[in-house]
Formats: sequence, structure tokens, C-alpha cells
Amino acid sequence: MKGTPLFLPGDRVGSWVGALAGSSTVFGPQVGSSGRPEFALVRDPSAVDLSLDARRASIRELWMPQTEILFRYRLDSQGATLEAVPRPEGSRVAFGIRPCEAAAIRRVTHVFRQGKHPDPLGLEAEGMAIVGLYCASPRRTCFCAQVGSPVDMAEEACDVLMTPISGGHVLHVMTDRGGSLAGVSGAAQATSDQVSAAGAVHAGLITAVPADGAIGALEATALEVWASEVFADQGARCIGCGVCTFLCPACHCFDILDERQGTGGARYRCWDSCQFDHFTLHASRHNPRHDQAARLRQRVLHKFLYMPQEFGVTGCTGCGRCAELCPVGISIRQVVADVRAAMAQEQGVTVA
Amino acid sequence: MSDPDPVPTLRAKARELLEQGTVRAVVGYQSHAESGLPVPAVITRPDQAEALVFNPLCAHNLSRYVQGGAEKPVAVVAKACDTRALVVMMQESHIRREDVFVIAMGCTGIVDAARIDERARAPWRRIEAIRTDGDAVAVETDAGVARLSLTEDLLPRCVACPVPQPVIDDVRLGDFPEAPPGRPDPLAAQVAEIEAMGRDERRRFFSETYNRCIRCYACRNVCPLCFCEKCFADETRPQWVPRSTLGGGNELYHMVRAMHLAGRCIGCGACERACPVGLPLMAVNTKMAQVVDGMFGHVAGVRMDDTPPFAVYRDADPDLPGHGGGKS
Ligand code: SF4
Ligand code: SF4
Ligand code: SF4
Ligand code: SF4
Repeated sequence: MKGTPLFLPGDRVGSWVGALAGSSTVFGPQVGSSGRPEFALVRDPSAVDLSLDARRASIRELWMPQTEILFRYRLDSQGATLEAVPRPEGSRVAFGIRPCEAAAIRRVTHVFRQGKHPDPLGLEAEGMAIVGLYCASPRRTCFCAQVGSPVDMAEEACDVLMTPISGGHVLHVMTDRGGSLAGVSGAAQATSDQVSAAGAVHAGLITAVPADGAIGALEATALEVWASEVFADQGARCIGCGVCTFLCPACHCFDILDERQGTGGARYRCWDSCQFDHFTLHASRHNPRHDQAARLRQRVLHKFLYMPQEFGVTGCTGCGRCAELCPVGISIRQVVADVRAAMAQEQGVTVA
Repeated sequence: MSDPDPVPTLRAKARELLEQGTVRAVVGYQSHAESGLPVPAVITRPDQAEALVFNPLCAHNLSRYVQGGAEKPVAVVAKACDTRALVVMMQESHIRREDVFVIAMGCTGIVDAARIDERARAPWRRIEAIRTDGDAVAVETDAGVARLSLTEDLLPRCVACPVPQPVIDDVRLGDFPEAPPGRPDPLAAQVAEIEAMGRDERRRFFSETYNRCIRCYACRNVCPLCFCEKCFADETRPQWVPRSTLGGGNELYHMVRAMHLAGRCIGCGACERACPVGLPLMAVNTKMAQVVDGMFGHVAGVRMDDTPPFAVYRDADPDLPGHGGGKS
């Protein structure tokens, strides 16, 4: 693990969050109004609880709120008057998100940076500092270690990584920004025992995720995998809801709409999903992704073929949300594994 | 007739239906390749019939998969309660009786899969076997056995199972309880609890609930009776419901959906189980069913020869007290 290791006793987390919240907008794991763990704006630093398992709560909300007003407008006989809506100001910190979630947020910025017109709103996520929290154990559907390595993801994406060990957390500072964040924590140099305890946690998570399910980017062309029966089989039971995409930390599709009441209104951006049947519906009523198999294929190939081709990284970091929360149990890991197996068998195409 | 393990018969029936071309597809349950939990399967080849399972974790209401666009004729594995959804679809002429071959499965209740997380040494990754013995369900996982009970760990909608016998069937497999179990209904209790709240508290309860909705529409897409070709929630011209989640759009979506399901919802609970943020959607559905039963004496999908209240106009139809409608 890169970075200088520090040690922060468990009872100092609250004061660190307090110090961070003094100068930044901080989001962290807390018990929501419903009693369920969620990531939310920190109003009371003592409410941040790193022992909560918020790994099935939305992460996307941190960098791309579900609904975001872009500007307001007023209509009169002269036309439209626009009124700017200020963007959130100051530095932002995501505190206690997991390596897979951190990597997902960082990878999404590739999409917003590409092309002639980078999207400044999408790139705001780059400005968000990440204090990661390494997992002591996976959830049932977690597969970070099958699609990469949680250690690599932490190094790729976190400014500071916290690893839970007995009595507190080892902090690995990965970036200059992370240095300033850790600077106000009051953490001291970690002992070599503490560093090796953290190393054991790092390795322990990787062993806890079965190695035999490893998958990676599909090394095939879209044409080679396009007609795979796996998409038809799984698509037949997919109900085309927004669960997998809305909860995915790496999904980023949105729609732009106007909402008007009388002579005034707002233009806003809100989440959209490639799994909805009207996502690609043309005005002509033609729908190029005309069935759920085609939509499922899009989700899988976007993450495991197009993102790797374009940016050299998968658009899935194995957080397991989609598989655990899908109402009909569709697992993207399984779909990719099945496509790879079927391709290898049927056409002799190597998709290793 | 007692059939302790109906699964071999189920597989043979599915194979036969596909081999003889009686149906083009069979909708049933299979064990998930990773978790071993039962999930919906749509099979079209006879050899796939071997993968079918049925056990007390088969929660999904598979009648959702015979909606409009599905290939017909189709066979569907249905618990007694699930057949009510098929009946409503037929009464509304959404599907035809002859297009659906109903494989009715005897069921004494479905257990809540979330209890496995509590009872196995977490995190379990795979279910190796599910064994039922009387009231006991032993879910054998790679992290130990989770012992569940067919009385204590039932899904809320199964506790007071009102319709243990299938309303329609082409074949019956397994044992069917003669009568409802006669236990108090936790869903009715939830309604009573909400009704006992003061106006402000109730208002707060609903707005906090719907505030958390992320509008993924899993509740709608999983519902066997949400089969409109174009849902009002997806319309943009006109846009009936704001898609933004900041104002009243969430509440509007849920209230209109509840109204569209009034007298039609069969209370399967699929919507609530599908919700990724755990919203208590059954409270309104249960209340709505109580209102329709009270006013029109109608319970959705329990008799094939019923006429749904939405399908008839009667001058004598009652109005809610204080809501005169068109009549004075
Ligand atoms: S595709 Fe699924 S497992 Fe992968 S990052 Fe998204 S939600 Fe997580
Ligand atoms: S894969 Fe699952 S969560 Fe995703 S759209 Fe299909 S049914 Fe919904
Ligand atoms: S509204 Fe919910 S409970 Fe009612 S039929 Fe639809 S899915 Fe089942
Ligand atoms: S499933 Fe839950 S979160 Fe999704 S639209 Fe329905 S109520 Fe909202």
C-alpha cells in the first residue's frame, strides 16, 4: 500500500470529522431518518458511524444528486429570462466510502472529460476529496477482488485510506490533498505492528472474495459477443427497472427536463437509466434497443467492453449493489462470466 | 393426495408442455447460479426443465412475466395467491385464459430471505440446499445452516394468507392448505397503526416515506397488474408527474399508482419486496383493498366470475362519506 501510514485511535474519528466539517462539506455514513444506513451530509460529526454498513446505500447522490436544478426561467412576451442557480461552493469530502465506490466515482470522470466539450458538472466529482474506508469483510454479493483489487482501487481513487484494525484505523495518505485532510486528524505515525495489522486486513478481504469467480474486461469485439444467448436468457427475466443503474456508483446517465408552472419554471438534470424501455426511444417510435435483452447487453458491455476500450478501466468495480438489490437476482458478474464462458466454448474466441 | 416433493413432477410437466408444443415458454423458479436463491426463469427448451425448483423461498409473483407482450401460450408456475393476478388480467381482457397454462403449487407460506442473513454466519455466499420438514426450513449455506420457521419467519403477506387455494389451475402440484391459517394479519395491523396517527404525524410519515423513493420504478415494473403499455409516469407530453424528486413528484407517482391499482391489487407484496430502499408500500395497497372491499364488496382476483368494480357502473354505487362526487 502506497503512502505514509498513520494511526488514528477509534475515539478520534468524531473530532476528525468535526475538523473536516469546519472547512468543507462532508458526507459520511449515518443512520437515516428511516433507520437505514445512508451517506448523507454531515450536520453532526458525532453522527458519523464507521461501523455502519452503508454499502447498499446510494453513493451516486454524493457527486450527482438525483435531481439538480441547472437554472430557472421566467417567460414573458419578450421571451425567456434566465436565472442562474449557483453551484455548490467550497471543498467537499466523501468520508468513509469504500475502495470500490471511490474507484467508481473517479472512473466516471473519464466519461465527462472525453470529447470536445467536457462536462463541467460531471467533472465536479474530481474536486471531491475521498477518505476511503477499507472493508473488514465483503457482503454476500461483493466482488471487488474478482474484477480487480480493492487495494489497487484504493490507491487509484482515495486521497486517504482508513483501514480498521484493533483500537482504531491505520491511515494511508495517498495524495497531497489527502495530506491536508489527514493533517487535521491528529493521527500519529503508525507502528510497524499496526502497519502489518492493516496489511492483514487488506489481504483478508481479497481472500474472502472467492478467487474462482474472477472476471475482467471482455477482450472481444462487440460483434463477437453481441448475439450471445446469455443476454437473451437473462434479459427474459429482467424487469427493466432502475435499481441496478440508480444504485450503481459508476452509472452516470441523466436526462435534462423542464418543469414549468405558469410562466416560470426550471431546467433540471435527473438520473436516467439505460434499463428503461423509453431510454433510447426515438421520436419516430423506433427503438434501437427494442427489448430487455438489448438493454441488459448495453449495461454489461458499457461497463466491461466499451469503458475498457475507451479508457482502459472497467465501468464496474464490483461493489455488488446491483446483484444484491436487483428484484430478480440478475448478477452482472455472473452475466460477464457466462458470456466469457460461452464465447470461449462456442466460437473459440479468447475472452480471457 | 399428498405429494411431499412436487419438484420432479413439476419438471416432468414443464418438459412435457415444451416437448409437445403446448406452450412456447414456461415461467418458473430456478436457483441462482451464485447465491442459490430462487429467482425467476423463463425457459423455452425441454432440457431446461431440469433447472426448475420450488421451495419456501420462492417469493416472486411470476404472473408478471405473462403480461401483454410475452410469447403465448405460456405456462406459469403459480402459488395460490399468484393465481389471483392472472384472474385479474383475464377479467380485464389483458390475457386470455387459453393462453396461460397454470401450474399451481401448494404453498404454506414463503419465508423472508432476509432472515438467512441473520441466522447464517455472515456473509454467506451460496445456498447449498433448502430442506423443509414440517414447519422447519433449513437453509444450508456455505456459512452454516440458517434455520427458519414457516410460522415465525413468513413474509408479511403470507402470515394471514387469505387465499390458500388457487383460483384457477390446469394442474395442481403439492399440498394445498384447506383454509387460511387464521393468524392476525400484520399488514392490517400496519394500516391500523398508521390510521391511529394524528393527521400531522401521518402526513410526516408519508412524506418521509416518499422522500426516500428514488423513482427506480421497480415497484411498478415488478407488479403483475401494472401492465399499461405506457405508464403515466413515463409520459412527457403531457408530463403528468414531475420527474424531479424535489417537489411532490414522488407522492404524486405513488398516489396515482395506488389509484390505478384500486380494486385490482391482489396484495402479493412484490412491489414492497422489490423496493431497493425498503419503502413500506403495502400499507397503502392494503388500505385501498380494505376500502374497495368495504364499499363494493370486492376482493380482487378471488373469483373468476366476479365483475371488477372498475368495469361496471351502478347508480347505487356508494360514495365515501363526505365525498359526494357527481351525486348529491
Ligand atoms: S455494475 Fe453493479 S457491481 Fe459493478 S459497480 Fe455498478 S452496482 Fe457495483
Ligand atoms: S437487472 Fe435487475 S435491477 Fe437491473 S433493470 Fe433488470 S431487473 Fe432491474
Ligand atoms: S401493487 Fe404491489 S401488492 Fe399489489 S398487485 Fe402490484 S405488486 Fe402486488
Ligand atoms: S421501488 Fe421503491 S424506490 Fe423504486 S420507485 Fe418504487 S417506491 Fe420508489
